[in-house]
Amino acid sequence: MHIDSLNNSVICHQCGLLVDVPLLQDGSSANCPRCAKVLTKRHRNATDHVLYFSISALLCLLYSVGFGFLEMSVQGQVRQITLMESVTTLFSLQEMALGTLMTVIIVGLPAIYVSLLIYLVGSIKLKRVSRHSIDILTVVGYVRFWNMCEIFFLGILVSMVKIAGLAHIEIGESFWAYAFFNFFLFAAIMHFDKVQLARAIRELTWERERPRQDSTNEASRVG
Amino acid sequence: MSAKHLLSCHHCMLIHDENSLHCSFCHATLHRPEPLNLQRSWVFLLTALLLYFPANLLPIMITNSLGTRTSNTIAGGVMLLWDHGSYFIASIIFIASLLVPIAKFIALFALCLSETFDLRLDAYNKTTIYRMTEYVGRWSMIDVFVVAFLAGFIQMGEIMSIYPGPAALAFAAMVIFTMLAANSINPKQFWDKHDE
Repeated sequence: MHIDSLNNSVICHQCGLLVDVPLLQDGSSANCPRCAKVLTKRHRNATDHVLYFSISALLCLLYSVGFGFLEMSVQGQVRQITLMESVTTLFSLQEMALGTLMTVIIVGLPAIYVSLLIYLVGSIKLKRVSRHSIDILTVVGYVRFWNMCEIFFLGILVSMVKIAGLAHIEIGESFWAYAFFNFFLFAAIMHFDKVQLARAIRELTWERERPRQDSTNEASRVG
Repeated sequence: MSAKHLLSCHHCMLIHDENSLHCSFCHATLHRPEPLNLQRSWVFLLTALLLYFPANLLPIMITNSLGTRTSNTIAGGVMLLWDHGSYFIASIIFIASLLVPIAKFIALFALCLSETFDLRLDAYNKTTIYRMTEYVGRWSMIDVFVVAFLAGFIQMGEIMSIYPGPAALAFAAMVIFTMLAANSINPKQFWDKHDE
């Protein structure tokens, strides 16, 4: 059974110390007194911020797959690619494993991550959470661990500098959309806090279940 | 306060007494720290070490330009960039692809060895090393992404074409395995002995 008096405590994920974390004020954070890890941070309007930044990120991601990404011209020859063509080219070169990896990194994980964030934070905002919302919170954590689209974006910048001397490069609309996608995703992650969200899900669920339990008790008494 | 006799649910972080088997809120199984984790990190770490050799010795990028075919290893690519005067990019690739993996191997070996042989190192230092390894490790992927993106982008037939070499996959797998190894280490174990 869980211990009710410890509902506002956290066991430090890093060193295992039991820390009592009171309800934080906006903008403040709680650190572990033993290993200094940030246990939780409460941002101002965190749910709204995560929701709006994630929706913006998803729109930018959708936009970025539809249009020209980069164009290069060398000796009169021009080649333009979309974001997805940079991956399908790998498949046509018979680089199946690398192509699959890149598909997952460039659009797969980011799309799943952003969609789950929208669903999770949206359901908290609409107070339609249940015990299963915790599962989504867990999956969000896993996807975040493997999500590397910001590293990929830095990789694109490095690639562009690498070939800048060899060919003329034009930047397409998709490129900017992907850049904005990365910015919005970063902003959403900065406002995301697992402990605060888990606490919100627990409290909303308990709040919703309490009146129902009371009424069933009454019903059994009447019966 | 001691957390010795308490269990925190991995999913919803609700705190239970040590006799609980399932979380009373989300019904997930409550995990106890297991010595198996250390074995798992060793397996991942040694796999990554094996992959380190093909990743560094085989070519990562093959360039075909006007009939001349050149293949570069990671170190060769860094030297080429340096010779061309792209000092900044050369430094980024040098740090991310050569320095970080070696540092990460040293850090992970130190952590795994100290846990396996029960060496009395300071728990705070071990946690700092662990945190840095976990944070910095993924950035090594940048070179793989550069090669994969260039191969997808630069396909202009005989004028200039770039192909990924066999090292690209080996390097990606190496980074993934070191990430798994770091993920299997449970930093709470460093502090168990600290309490005694």
